[in-house]
Amino acid sequence: MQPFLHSVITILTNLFIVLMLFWMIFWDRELSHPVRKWWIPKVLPYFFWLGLCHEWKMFSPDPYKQNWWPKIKLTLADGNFFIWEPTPSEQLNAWEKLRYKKYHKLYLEISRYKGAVNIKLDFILYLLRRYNLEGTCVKAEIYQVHQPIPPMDNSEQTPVKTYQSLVYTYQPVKS
Amino acid sequence: MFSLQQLSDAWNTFFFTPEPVYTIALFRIVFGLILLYDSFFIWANALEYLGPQGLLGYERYQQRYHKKSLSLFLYLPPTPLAVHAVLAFHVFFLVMMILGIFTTISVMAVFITLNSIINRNVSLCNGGDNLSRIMCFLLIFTPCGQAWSADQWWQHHQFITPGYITMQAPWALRLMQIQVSIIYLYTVYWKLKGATYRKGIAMYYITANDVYRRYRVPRFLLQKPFVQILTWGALIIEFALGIGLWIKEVQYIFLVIGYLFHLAIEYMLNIHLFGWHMLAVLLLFANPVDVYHVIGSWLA
Repeated sequence: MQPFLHSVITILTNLFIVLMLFWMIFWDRELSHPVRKWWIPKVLPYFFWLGLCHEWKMFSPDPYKQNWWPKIKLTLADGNFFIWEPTPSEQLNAWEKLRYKKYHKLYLEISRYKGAVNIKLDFILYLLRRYNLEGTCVKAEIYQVHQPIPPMDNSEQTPVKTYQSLVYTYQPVKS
Repeated sequence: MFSLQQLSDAWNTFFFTPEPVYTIALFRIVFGLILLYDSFFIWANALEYLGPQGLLGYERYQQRYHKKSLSLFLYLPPTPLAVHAVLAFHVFFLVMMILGIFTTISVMAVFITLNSIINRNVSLCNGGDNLSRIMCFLLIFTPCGQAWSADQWWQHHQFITPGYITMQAPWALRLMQIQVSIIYLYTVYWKLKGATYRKGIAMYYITANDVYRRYRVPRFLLQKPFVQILTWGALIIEFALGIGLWIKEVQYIFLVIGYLFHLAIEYMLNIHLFGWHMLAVLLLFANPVDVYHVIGSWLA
């Protein structure tokens, strides 16, 4: 019984190693890569369930060439507006900078031009709950406020300009 | 060409030749301390991060993740009490893991609570959180509790047993090391697809990013030659770490380079705990005999 059990454990361990190597190597490949395209989706639900999905693409293929943050305009039933913007980093003290740094990525996601639709809606619903505006808000708009980073060769001469673009609209209650 | 037998031998030597367990035991303690720090940090904003009325409302969370994720929050009532209970369990099992009390069970419990916390609002997470989940998962399969732990104390009545070195197959440690190498090599692979990295000006944009930068770099330093040295230097270091950490003869040189590299990034950029997780995982490449002698002699 002992050698049989040992063999079973050895086989299972080796299979586990092969599976993990396969996942580590191919998960972060391009979506067009044949293995990523055809084989990874077959094991994806199990790895997703375990929370082992990962990408190592920070600041790539190119770092952002602009700074941006969200600005949210909530139109209320009485015609008034409620504007929400994150506190600029310079106005936070050292503890607040530390405490709120997990929010950076969230703010980038909700003010993207495309995608992240669920995250955008989640955040609007959160604001409505937080400021008790559920039922009184008739329209919510997310704007991306952005400042292009001046090109390196001309950084001192180029003034920093701020732009604003509408990236998402949601109507909680039909007006 | 290699024969099948040679490949099989190489595989078995690499993954299964027993080695001392001290590297992974040290990693368990350091990694646990970083997670412990992070858990108090999360607790400061717990209800906003994880609460039913927080950034991601409970109903929408259930809709999106029901049966798709290993998370305690999917099975607990949507109350603030449940949030604090999960965090309390997380901290409790982290302390157990650090002290090495029922270590394997503690690491499994930490993995479940960590996964629950991260999964509850993934839009707040970064590469450090993902790395911590993967490392915690693989840590379950390591003999990390067989040294410098209460488990060992109960077995041998000593943390350090002179002349007695615990040896185990390091296959899970090897997977963790491979994962670290893959991080470095893939990050270079993806960056080389970008024109700013190839031109050597990417570091200019990274240091100008208000969201992530910690300090404003003086303009006189942001001259093209200096920025190019920083950009290409970072790529070379990342590639070299992905390979060099495996070469025994130069391993410690690369470990020092890796530590300086990540400390420099940590100084420049405010990326939540990613740098600290990377500093911890570099420990995985330390020779276990050296770890035994350094920490063991210090403890003795």
